[in-house]
Amino acid sequence: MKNPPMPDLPTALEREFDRMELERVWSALETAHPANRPTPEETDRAWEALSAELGLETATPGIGEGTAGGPGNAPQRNAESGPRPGRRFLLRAAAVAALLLGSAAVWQFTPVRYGAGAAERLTVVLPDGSRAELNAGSSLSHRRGFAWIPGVRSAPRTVRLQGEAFFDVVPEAQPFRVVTDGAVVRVLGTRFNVRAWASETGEVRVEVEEGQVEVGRQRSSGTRVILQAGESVRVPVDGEGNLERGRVAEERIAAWRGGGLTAVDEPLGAVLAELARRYGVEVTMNLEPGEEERLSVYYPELGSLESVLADLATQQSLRYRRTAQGWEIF
Amino acid sequence: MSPTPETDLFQVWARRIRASDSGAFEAFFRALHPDLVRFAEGLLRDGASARDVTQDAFVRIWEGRERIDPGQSLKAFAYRTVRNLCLNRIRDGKTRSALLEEAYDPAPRSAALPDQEAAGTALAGHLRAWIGDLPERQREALTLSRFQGLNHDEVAEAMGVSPRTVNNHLVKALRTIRDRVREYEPTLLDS
Repeated sequence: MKNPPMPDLPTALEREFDRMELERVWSALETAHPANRPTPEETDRAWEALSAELGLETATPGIGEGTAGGPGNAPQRNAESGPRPGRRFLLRAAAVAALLLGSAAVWQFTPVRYGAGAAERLTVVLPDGSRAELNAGSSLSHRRGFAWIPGVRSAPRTVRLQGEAFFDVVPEAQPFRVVTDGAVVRVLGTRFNVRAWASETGEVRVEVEEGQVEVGRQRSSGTRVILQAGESVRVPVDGEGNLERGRVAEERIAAWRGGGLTAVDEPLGAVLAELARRYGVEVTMNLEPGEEERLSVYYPELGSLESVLADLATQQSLRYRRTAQGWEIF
Repeated sequence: MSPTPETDLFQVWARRIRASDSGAFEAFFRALHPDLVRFAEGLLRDGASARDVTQDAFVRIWEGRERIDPGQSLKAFAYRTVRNLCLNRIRDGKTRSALLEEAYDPAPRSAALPDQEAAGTALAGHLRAWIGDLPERQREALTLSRFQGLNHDEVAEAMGVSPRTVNNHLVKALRTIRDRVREYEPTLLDS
């Protein structure tokens, strides 16, 4: 996991050694890396125990569910003994209130979901005031008790993202987490873009416009990087490929917000899928296996779909045509 | 040594934890817990004690949060806290460390190695055993620097010694390991 470079040893001591030889010992030691790290689940449990011991405010799913009283607690038996309409009304109201309270606890944990349709962009203001701008075809969800549930502050603020979104996060004590398939982004307060169409691109890509964010894999506590403004990282979702860090020009971050398009070394199919979502039409690809190439494109602003397809086709030495439902590249 | 982005994050956490921010404390806990447990396990040779000690260290850090110095490395401070607690335990004989140390047996040398992978595994076993044989402080310096990803200054701070002493420990440890590797497989160190 961690593979630190060999520290600089004083040159006086180095004379005794062959530096290369020491480097080889250093790198051979990697294989002796002790494997007995606790699992993330174990760390979760340890945190629960610790926060309970210290009386820290954290919210775990399920809080309140047992305490609010379910519909079963409604005083039905009393309702039979009270024939007067006024009383009946009161009891009914009490039953309804109990039911509401019970479901309120459940309701608290049912996710809120936002989705941007094809050819659509959607700006969502989250309960803490942070903003998420969704690109076409993307969706975002969070628990109703996103930043707090009555009486209990929850930590951290967590949203689930499918697709691509730009976040402008309000700085607060609680960290803000974006969970996608294959990667988790963790921030305090900043502006950044997350592109998580892993099924098409095989990776999750994060680009930071302002501030500092931490990106890691979903199911591994070890591999994570910290990005500053102007930096990007790609997290391959299959296997254990390295998190690849790079730089990104500011105007290219979330170019889609201004009607543009940025794709960095993505398969052609992923770029076409993006165009399909953006224009709300079908864009297909009919190529021989192995013919699909990766490409990088940047449009500050997209023109007509046909002009973009013409560009791509030229760049890739392919052709394109209109079909009944949309377009095809072949 | 120029600060890496990672140390910046620890600085942010240090300030926030000092201000009683439990969210920052949770982030800090999650970032370090697995590594600290492993570090403690290396010293105590006992998983359950290592987990206890780590938990205890975090309790102390939180309870003493007002005394956290944001100018100092919070990461190194956490390692130092765990280390001190481990040494106390060893001193008080609360672990079976000494007993286990005797029983710590190096992987057997296999006469014929069928393939590269087996060779790698066998070497790994030997390396672990050789590390286990190092004098305690050398082993610690090597472990912190090689497996826990602490930089030189952080290792020094965690161990409560000067960076120069860390250097000496590291050099001696590496020299020993090199000699063992040479005896075991002379060609391994040739390019």
